[in-house]
Amino acid sequence: MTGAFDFAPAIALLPLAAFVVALFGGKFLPKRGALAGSTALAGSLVLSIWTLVTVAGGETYNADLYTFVAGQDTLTLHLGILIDPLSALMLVIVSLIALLVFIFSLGYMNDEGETGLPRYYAELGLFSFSMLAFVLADNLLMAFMFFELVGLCSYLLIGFWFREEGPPSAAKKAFLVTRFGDYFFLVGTVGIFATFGTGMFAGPESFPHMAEQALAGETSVTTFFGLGEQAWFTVLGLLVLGGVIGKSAQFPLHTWLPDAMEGPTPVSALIHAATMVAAGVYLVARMYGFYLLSPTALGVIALVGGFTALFAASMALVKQELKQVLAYSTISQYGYMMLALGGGGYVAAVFHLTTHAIFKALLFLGAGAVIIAMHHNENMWDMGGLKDKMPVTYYAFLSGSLALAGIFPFAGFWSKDEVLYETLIHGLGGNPLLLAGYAMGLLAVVFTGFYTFRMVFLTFHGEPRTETAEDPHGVRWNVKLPLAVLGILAAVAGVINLAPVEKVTGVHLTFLHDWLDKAPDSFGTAVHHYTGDHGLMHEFAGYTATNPLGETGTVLAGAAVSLGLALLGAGLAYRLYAVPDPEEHTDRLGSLKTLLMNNYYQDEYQVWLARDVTLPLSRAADTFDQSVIDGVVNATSSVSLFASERVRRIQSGIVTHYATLLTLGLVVILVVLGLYGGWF
Amino acid sequence: MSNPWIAIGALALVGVLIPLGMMSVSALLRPSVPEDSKRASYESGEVPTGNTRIRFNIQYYMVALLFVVFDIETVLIFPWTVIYGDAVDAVGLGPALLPMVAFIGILAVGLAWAWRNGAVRWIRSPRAQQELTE
Amino acid sequence: MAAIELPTWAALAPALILAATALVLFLIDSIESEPDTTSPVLLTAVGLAGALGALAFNVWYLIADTGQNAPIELFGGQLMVDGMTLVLGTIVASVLALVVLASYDYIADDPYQAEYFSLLFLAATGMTLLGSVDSFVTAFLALELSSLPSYALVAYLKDNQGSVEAGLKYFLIGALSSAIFAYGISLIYGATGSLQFDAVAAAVDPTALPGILGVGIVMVAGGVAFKTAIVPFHFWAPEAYEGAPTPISAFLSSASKAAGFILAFRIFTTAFPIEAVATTIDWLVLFQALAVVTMVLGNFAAATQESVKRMLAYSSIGHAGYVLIALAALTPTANADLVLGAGMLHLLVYGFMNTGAFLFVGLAEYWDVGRTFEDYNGLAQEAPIASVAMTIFLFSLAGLPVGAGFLSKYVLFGAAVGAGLWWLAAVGAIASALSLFYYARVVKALWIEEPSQDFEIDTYPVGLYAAIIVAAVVTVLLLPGFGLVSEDAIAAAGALL
Repeated sequence: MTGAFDFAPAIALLPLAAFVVALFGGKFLPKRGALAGSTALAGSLVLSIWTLVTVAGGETYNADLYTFVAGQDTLTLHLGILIDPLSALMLVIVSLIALLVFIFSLGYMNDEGETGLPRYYAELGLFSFSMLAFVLADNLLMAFMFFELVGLCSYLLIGFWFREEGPPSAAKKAFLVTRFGDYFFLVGTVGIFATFGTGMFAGPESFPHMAEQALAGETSVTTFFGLGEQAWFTVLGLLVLGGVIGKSAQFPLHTWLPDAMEGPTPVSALIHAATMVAAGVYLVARMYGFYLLSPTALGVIALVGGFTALFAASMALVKQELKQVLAYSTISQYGYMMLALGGGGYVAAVFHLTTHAIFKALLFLGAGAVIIAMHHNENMWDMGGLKDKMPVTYYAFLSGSLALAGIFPFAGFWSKDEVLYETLIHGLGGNPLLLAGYAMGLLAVVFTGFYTFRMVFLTFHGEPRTETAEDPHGVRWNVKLPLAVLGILAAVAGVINLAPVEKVTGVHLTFLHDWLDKAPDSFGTAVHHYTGDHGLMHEFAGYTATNPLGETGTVLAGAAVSLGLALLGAGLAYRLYAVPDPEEHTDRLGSLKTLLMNNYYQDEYQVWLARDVTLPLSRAADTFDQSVIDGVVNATSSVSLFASERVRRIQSGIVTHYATLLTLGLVVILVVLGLYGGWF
Repeated sequence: MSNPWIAIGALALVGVLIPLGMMSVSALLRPSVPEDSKRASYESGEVPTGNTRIRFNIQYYMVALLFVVFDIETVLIFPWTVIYGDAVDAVGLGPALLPMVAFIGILAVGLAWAWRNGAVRWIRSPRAQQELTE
Repeated sequence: MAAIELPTWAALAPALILAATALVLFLIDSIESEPDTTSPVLLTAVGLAGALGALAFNVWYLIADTGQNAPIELFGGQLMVDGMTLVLGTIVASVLALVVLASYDYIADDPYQAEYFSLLFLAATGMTLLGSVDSFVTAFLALELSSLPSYALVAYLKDNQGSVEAGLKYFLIGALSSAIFAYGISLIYGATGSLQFDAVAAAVDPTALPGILGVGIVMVAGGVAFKTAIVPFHFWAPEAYEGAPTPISAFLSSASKAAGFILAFRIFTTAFPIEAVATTIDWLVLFQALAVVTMVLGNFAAATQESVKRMLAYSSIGHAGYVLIALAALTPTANADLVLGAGMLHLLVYGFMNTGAFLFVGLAEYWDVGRTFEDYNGLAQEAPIASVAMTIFLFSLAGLPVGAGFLSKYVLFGAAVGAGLWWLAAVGAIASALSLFYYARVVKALWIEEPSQDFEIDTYPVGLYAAIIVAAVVTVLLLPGFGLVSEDAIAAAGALL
């Protein structure tokens, strides 16, 4: 019987086919490969939805596809597929957004007459393939491989306009910074393989399960450096977290993401909002069972997340370019997800991941439409009054902004509220670290409301401030269609998990929770296994929930506070910027503005680290390498060349010499062996 | 038990010593009469023309090779014919006959090829050809 | 069990098909209307059919487990068919098919093509038979059957001084080695009174006549060392490989070497098992020493060559050293199946990658590119596909994981370490590292260097290209498919012990 799961590899392979087609045949195709890509992604989307439906029917899948190293009694390395509710959901999100981005690219790239389109679509296809394969991965090694491939595609796409000055250096930066994190990830992966002998995510043979049993004292595993089991698991978790922090642009490795906006805007939408950045968070969610075993790791995740949320939001306050604002808001929103994961809100994190993917892709595509209209000028101070010229874009963008700011009843409100709520109750349950994260998250809500609406008002409201804004370039259906689809989704996607409403009214509305809980017990990835009454969170992380005002009261109070703060921020923005001729109020911030504009001198200190600390070190290493190592190597090779010359001389070309040498050789062998064997 | 290699060594020693001894004895005994005619190739008086390194026509080897092949064939066929009658009684006609047929068949293929490629044609001498046409 | 019951002699079908093909080619040459007018297409087609037929039988028998549970004995125990026979048959037939395909273009303008092909098939018959010999008589006959046509093939380019000289040298050294081999056989007969392998093993008496037996064993080892180009019997190899028509170099360095090794495996595991003869002659020590010397000498000499073909010739000596590890590591503590199986696997993989590399050189000769590394500069721009294939071959030969050469070397060295001979594996690894240096020189010339000449490439020969690409594809495919073949090879080795 063939079912959806038999076609699961095709979800990832279709975009790979599109990559090949676009790469080799893109030049000859109409639309330079866009149609091939769109068709492939449409196919992936259909298959993903089919998979989703199948999973909804209660089936899951966890199988090896191909083993490339089969060890005897040691580890085996293989490619495999794990489809549980989490990955099925993620597949739909990724393939949906990728499809829309392909369509949008028709308007953004083809209609604008860009060159190098086959390369563009090929890279986009390769990216989709890697991301989908990453989502499907059933073990850590495969995840790592595609994690890297995703990073490579991101590098290629950011540097798409490689002839200009900015993009190549941004691409390099993105590559290097994420690679820095990936080193930790790699070490962590090796550590996990060394410890458990497997990198499987789910099932009785998986490393989270083995770690759990080890902590429960049922089995034992090898630990290193004399650490206890829990301490060692914490080290492993934090190492993997290094990769996550790099890829999901968390503090302090977030600096690459704003620069990555040098790439084409559809790429920003796809990679730097909805998918690649999500890879990090997805990875934490994927091996959540492992993180739950270590309260320390969870605390670090929560603190990093909360801090990043606040920190990035503060920088977004003063940015002048549309995409820069969005970039910092992306960092900030991923901070929320990390906060949720660290705070025990698994469902909340996945929920926010879903809604964020939708509304951030929407905002980026909307920004793309505005950028087309503005002839590729991204400065918000040169815009204004676009509301009447491009109504579809405006309303879609507004929908996305309301979601981003977390205004009731848009999708972002529900998810962000749940993130904060989960963190709060677990923080109150005796975990001050989480409360600190919660406070930062709450403060970031104000900032979010402010910068979001500052952006909306500056771009769309008031009077046009330049001639381009007076007469914007029109956009076609292929831009409007994705915007409309996403705009509607951004408004209503919250219904998948209306937790507060459920708690207040008692009507069962937490569909996402149910959905994620569908994973079979054997996988150990279901929600009740993580955060249920006897789940890992209570057993190992020691989290307990406390509702000081009763459950309903706390829910309502939390929601009211976050909504109030969001409205406060939005209102402030309204007062300052929703006027026909807004001014730059940022000057009033004085030196704080300089600090914010310079991103807290993050780049500077990292450059300082690279230049003044690492460079001398590498010089020293280089000197060592050149003098000692190369010396040895050179000596070896001159010895070998000399020896080789000797050997060559034996081969004189005279056959009688050969016969003599041969016979002599035989005689020598006979004599030696004869003496040795005692024949005489 | 004495080492059997001693006997072999003694044999080798004798083998080397006898010729050496004879040569040295004759060198000591013989009178020395240097004479030019002793250096001639043929003491019969025949004067050699050219040196010994002349080329034989390849045809010579071809014919020799074919002769050897058929010689060996005969060596194989002869005992076969002797026991053929008994062999047929023992194992039947096929197993007794077919291997030899196959063997002769293979030889026949080789002969046919050699024949076709001129192995048994009489020597063609380019020089003689040239003289004929003149 | 096979679905069809074949008579027992049908187990020799691969060798019989090759012999029959040789005869058919002679026949075709005999009945043509004018000498040397048969169309090359017909000859190639017949040759390809024969080679593929033999390959098909080998693979079928391997899959059907013919003779793998219990060896099939033929002709009163003179010949036998078991797993190792079939592995060798597969190697020989595969290489033969590639060589036939490539020869179509390579010898397109030369006379005596029918003879060329038919000698090729006679040699292949001998090599295939070397896998199924079960007595010293048949071993000697098969060895000669594979050697004699080889001498002629090396000298096939009659007007090329290098080719004729190489043929003569090969013949002279070959004659000397045959004499040594034959003398060794006679000594063994003297010591044991038997020629059949099992009977020899049973009759070995370390106390009586130890010297005669020991000298005989060393001389037999010398005979196979000649066939496999192991130091000090390697002198013919660089000359013969360099002078011979390149497809023949490929054939000799891959198939002929494999046949020699399989014969060595057979003789030294069946006729002289180490436990029986260890007190007389510890051939493990002999082979360990020869393996080290061969690996070191082959790779060092390859590093200083100017001509690509000669470099490959020396590298093939180096590879003989690697395979010799399979015999050298048969220590009592070793996992013997794995050790021998690893040797066979390396031979199989080597058959494809080395043949491919030589055929690329043949392609370059076809285009008159030149012989040295410099002449290859920038060739990748003109022939990217073939250059990709060549890159795969070379990196696979060096043991990088682009082709199956990585795995086979890895298993081989791993088996040596498992046998407690870590130092042997270390020498092998160092030699491999050195080999990367000279293989990379070719790759660098192909891809990175600027062309030093104007290539005049107007045709892309179909046969050569096809052979190169097939070899490359198989080299790469064996990487994921390694598990499939390794099972058979290790089982075949297990049956031997």
